[in-house]
Amino acid sequence: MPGSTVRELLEGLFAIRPILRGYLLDEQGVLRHHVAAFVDGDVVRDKRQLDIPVPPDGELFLLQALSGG
Amino acid sequence: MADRLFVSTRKGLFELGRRDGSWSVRRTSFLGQNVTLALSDARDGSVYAALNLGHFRAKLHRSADGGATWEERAVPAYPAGEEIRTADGKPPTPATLKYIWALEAGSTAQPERLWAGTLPGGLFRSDDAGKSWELVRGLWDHPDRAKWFGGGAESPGIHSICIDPRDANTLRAGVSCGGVWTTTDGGATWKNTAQGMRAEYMPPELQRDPNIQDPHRLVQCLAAPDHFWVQHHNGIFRSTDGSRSWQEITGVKPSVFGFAVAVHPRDPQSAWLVPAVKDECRVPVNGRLVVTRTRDGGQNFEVLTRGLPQEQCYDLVYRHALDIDGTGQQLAMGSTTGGVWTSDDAGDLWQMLAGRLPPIHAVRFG
Repeated sequence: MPGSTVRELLEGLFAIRPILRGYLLDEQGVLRHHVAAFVDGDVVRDKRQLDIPVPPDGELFLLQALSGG
Repeated sequence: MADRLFVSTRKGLFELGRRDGSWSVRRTSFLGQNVTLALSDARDGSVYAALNLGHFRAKLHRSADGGATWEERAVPAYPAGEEIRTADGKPPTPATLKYIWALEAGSTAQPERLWAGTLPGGLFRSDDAGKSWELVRGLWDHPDRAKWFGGGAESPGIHSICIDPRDANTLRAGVSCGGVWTTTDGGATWKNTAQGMRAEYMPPELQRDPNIQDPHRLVQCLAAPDHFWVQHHNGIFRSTDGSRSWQEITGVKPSVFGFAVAVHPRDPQSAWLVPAVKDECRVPVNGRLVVTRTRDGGQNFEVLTRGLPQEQCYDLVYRHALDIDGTGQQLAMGSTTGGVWTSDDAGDLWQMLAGRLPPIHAVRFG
């Protein structure tokens, strides 16, 4: 997937599956509270700041944080 | 009498059907997912389900075949840069949709119009059956919105939308905690019409402020549309002048506290409530689940108990979890502990659904 930052990778993903935008980000473009993102194993701490570099062979991992009941 | 009941629960949407006088589960949709509201649209037979997913937040689905299959629709979205501003001491925060808390269909002259009330306090309108939504700026940009309070949900929320049957451009919106707002021009301009309500939780000199009132649920009598009933955080209120003013109804046993209220579709003097002890103790009084009913505009109430558990019962009925059908004879209610009760004689006798459902947010005939 082309893109050198978390945000660029996400935009690439949303271009393929537009419905995912509302699942992963809120309307203000912030990563949702119960969605966690990891770049090569390092967690994205500031969910508003998604211009985090991702190396060319790096991996962005998205998961639903545990919540429920 | 209605023969379909949608029960929105923490773990799915349950469609109940009625045959030979008793109700049973006919279909389950979104099993395991948090469904907060359902709407059966009589204009075209479609059904809408509002979800609030723990991870992915609010979603809206529409079924064109009565609930057999679903298609995801858009949800109301707050424009970039909008803020939640309240007068209860919380700092401003960016406005994002928490969940849909009211969902109503427009008139038959507006075939694809929907209205959605949301947490954190915005009202939205769709004119394409939920494919897109627009924030109703007339209410959102009103300077008095900044005087609203959050309640138990931290942010203000619109839980009730009453569309006047005489004029689809006249609406009332019930806001916790922001009072009752009225528009007569389709949402372009609004006025707070909660005068007469009283907020016991406020300092004495602020108790009559319309902008911090907490009506839990607002309902309108369709055949006598100047008549409204409110179950408020600290009492019961009624309006007979088109929501311009409100009168408090006091001294109702066993309690004036609760969340839900239903009004007869043709008789504005008849209303039903499901009381709990008080805001500091939200369980049935003395462990007995009861429904209170008035037939004379609140001068007298009966306490209805037949068919309802009267010992060690802690079922609580939330604001959207009591409904009445178009005949005014059939009622249904669902509790936070999964109990469903129905009555086909205006509440004289109740039957319990066989089965234990997940916690119930809403019940709605359709």
